[in-house]
Amino acid sequence: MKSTIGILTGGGDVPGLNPAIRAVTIRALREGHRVVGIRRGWGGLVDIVPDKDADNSRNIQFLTEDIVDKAGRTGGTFLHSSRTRPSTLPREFVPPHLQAKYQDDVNDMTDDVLKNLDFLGIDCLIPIGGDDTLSYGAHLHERGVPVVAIPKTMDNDVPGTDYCIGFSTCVTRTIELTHKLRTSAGSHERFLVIEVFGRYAGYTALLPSMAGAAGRCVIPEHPFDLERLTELMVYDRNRNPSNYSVVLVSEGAQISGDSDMSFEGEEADMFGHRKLGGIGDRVANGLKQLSPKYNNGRRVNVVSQRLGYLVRSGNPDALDSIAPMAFGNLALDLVTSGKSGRLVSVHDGRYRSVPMEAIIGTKKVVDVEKYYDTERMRPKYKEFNGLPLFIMTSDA
Amino acid sequence: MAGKGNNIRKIAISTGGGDAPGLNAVIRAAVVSALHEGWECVGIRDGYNGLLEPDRYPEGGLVRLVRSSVRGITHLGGTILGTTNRGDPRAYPVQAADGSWSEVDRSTELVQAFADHGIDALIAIGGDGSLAIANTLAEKGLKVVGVPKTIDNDLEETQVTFGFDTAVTFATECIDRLHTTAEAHDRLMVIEVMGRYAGWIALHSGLAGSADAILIPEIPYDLESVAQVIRRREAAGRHFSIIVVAEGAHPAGGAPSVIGNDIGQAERLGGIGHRVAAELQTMTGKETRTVVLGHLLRGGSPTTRDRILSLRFGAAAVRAIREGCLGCMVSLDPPEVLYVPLALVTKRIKTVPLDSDTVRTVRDLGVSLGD
Repeated sequence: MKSTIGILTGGGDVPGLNPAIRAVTIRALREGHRVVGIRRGWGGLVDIVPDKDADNSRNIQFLTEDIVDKAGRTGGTFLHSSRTRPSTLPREFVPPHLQAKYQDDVNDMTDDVLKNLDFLGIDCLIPIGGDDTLSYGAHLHERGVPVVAIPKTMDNDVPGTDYCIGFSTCVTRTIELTHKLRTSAGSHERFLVIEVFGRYAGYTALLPSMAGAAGRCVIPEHPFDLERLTELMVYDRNRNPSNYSVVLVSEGAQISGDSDMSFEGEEADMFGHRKLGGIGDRVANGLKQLSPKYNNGRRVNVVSQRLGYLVRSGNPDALDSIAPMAFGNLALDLVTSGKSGRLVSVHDGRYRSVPMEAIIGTKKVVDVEKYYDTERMRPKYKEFNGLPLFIMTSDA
Repeated sequence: MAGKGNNIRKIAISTGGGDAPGLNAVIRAAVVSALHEGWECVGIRDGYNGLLEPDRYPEGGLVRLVRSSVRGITHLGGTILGTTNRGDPRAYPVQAADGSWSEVDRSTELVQAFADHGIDALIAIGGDGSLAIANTLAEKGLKVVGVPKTIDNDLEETQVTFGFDTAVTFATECIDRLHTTAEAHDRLMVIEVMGRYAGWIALHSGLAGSADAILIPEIPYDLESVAQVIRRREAAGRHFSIIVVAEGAHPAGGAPSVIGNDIGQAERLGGIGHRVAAELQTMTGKETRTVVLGHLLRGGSPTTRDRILSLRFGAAAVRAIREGCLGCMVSLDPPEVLYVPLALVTKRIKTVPLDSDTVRTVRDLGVSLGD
C-alpha cells in the first residue's frame, strides 16, 4: 500500500540529521510513497492550520529527491528543529487560530495534533530526536498513530541503543579542538580545562579521553573530589615534558559536596530541563586555588574553554553519514512491513529495533563500575576483547 | 663568515605574551640563519623568566638552540621556549613574606644578566607588551631586534603580524560550522572572538564567514540597528542570524567588558558576547545562543601564510642584527620586510581604519556594523 510518511527532527541539532532525512525520503519516494517534512519538530504539527486554502509552507514541506540530495551532505537540519512539546504547551506558543480553545497556562494540544495528522493524510510518522522528542512520539503511538523513531543526540544518552546520530561527530570535534588547545596550554605551562556538552551523561567526555584527547575526565555519573583532581593534574603536568595537563569536564559533572549540577539559569524548557553550564570555569578556578598545595607552593594557571556548540556544528563525519543511512532505511523497512512503536537502534554493533517504551522513564548513563576509574579519574582501559565497536556506550 | 656582523658571537631568543601560531617557525628561521652566520643561539625560557628566575628551571633557564632543537617545528603551534604574560621585567610580580604581591622594576638587572651570559644580541618575539619591554632593554643598551607577533593584528608599523591569518582562518571555519546550528533552530548565534581593543579578527572572519552583523571596538554599537537587520531577515524568511562580536566591542557611550585585572598582567576582556546575546534576545524575542571562541583561535598549526611570514621575519631579524640595525622591529611592507624603530611601534595600537576598503566592503554587502 502506498502511504504518506511524515518526518520531523526535534531537540538540539546534530550533524547527521539531513543524511537521515535523505535516506528515508529517497527510498520512500522510489517505492512510491509520499514524504512530508514537518518543520520545527513537533512545532510544525502544532502550528498547522487545517484548511486546504491556508498557507502552511512555514510548517510543512513536501520532500523531493532534489531537496534531500543537496541537504543530505550538510550538518544541522534543513527542516529546522524545536523543543516544542504539544502535551505541555505554554499559552504563548498556542497558534492564533486555537487561542480561544486553549487558554490555560500549560495546554495539552494532542487532540489537535491528531487532527492535523489526519488533515495531512499522514499514515505514519518518523520522528528523529533525543529522548524528549521521542517520548512525545511514544505518546502519539499510544494514541494510535503508527510511529517509528530514530535516535539522535550528541550526548548518546537515549536508552535502548548504543549509538545515536551525532555522537561520533561530537567525539571527533572534541578530540580535534582539544588537541588544538594544547599549544596554548603548553606554551604557558598551564592546566587545560575543557567543558563539553553531554547533559546528564558522561560519554562526550569519556570517549574523547579514551581516544587520547585528555589525561583526565570528570563525568556526571560520579561526583568528584576537586582536591584529588588537582593532585592528578599537577602529577600529569610534572610528568609532561611540555609541562601542562588536560582535563575534560562534562557540563553535568558535579563536585562532591555540591547539592546540584551547575546551571546557566533558572529557565526550564517544555520538557522541564534547565540549561547546564558553568562547571568548567568552577573547576578551573578551583584547580588554580588548590594548585599551590600540590605544586610546592606555586600556583598553576589555567586555560579554560567551553567547546559549546562547536562540537555539534558543521558537517557530519564518516560515521554520522553512515549510521543515519542505516537508521533511515531500517525505519522504512519497519514502516513498509507495517510495524510501528519501534525505535531503530544499534546493539552490540548490530542494527535492530526495540519497542519505543525503552526510552521512557530512564536515562542512559555511563556504567561507572565497568568503564570509569573513579580513583584515577579516567576511563578504564582493560578487557576490550569481544566488545562492540562503540565501547562504553552499551546499556545492555 | 664566522665572527662577522658587529662582532656578534651569541644571540638569545625570547617569546613573550600569549602564544600565537608561527612562533616556532620564527624561532627555527632565526636559529638556522644565525647558525649560518656562525653565531651561537640560546632560547630564554618563558619570556625572561629563564634569566630572572633561573632557580625555577632545574635544566637551566637558557636552552642552547642547535639545528636539532629546531628541526621539524615550522608547522607546530605554541612555542618550544614557553611564554608568559606575567613576567614584565619593568613591573615584575614579587611575592612578599605576608603573601601579598607587588611589582618591581628588574630591567637593569636583566640587561646585566644578558652581559653575564655573554649574550650579544636579543631577538624578542612578542606583541605590544613584549615589544615595549624590548624597547626599554634597547634604551638601556641591549642590542635588540623585535619580531611582531599577535593573533590580534593590533601592532602599528607592520601590515600584518604572524598568527593573525591562522586565527582568522579558524574563526571563519567556526562561523561556517555554527551556521548549521543557528539555521536548524531558527536562532541568533552570537560568536565572540579575541582581538583585544581592535576589531581585526571580528571584521575579517565576520566578512569571510558571511555574518549578518559584526561589532568591533572601533565602532561603538547601537543594538537597535542590529535588531533591525535581524527583523528584516525574519520578514524575508531568514529565521536565523549570525552576529560576530569582538571581545573589545562596547555600546555607544559604554565601556568594554572586563573579566580580570590581575597584578602583573594586562586587563582581560570578556563577557561582551553574553551581554549582546541577552540584549538581542530581549529586543527581538528570538532564541539566542553564545559561543566564545577564546583560546581556540591561538591554538593549532599555523596556516601556510603565517608560516611563510614567520620564516621571513625570523630570517630578517638575524639579517637586522648582522647589518647592525638595532632597536628595531622587522615589519611587513609588501613585498618587502623592513626594519622600523621599536619606539614607533608601541606608541599606540593599530585599530581598524573606518575608511578602509574592508569596512567599505562589509557595508556594501549590507552587513550591519552596529551603527
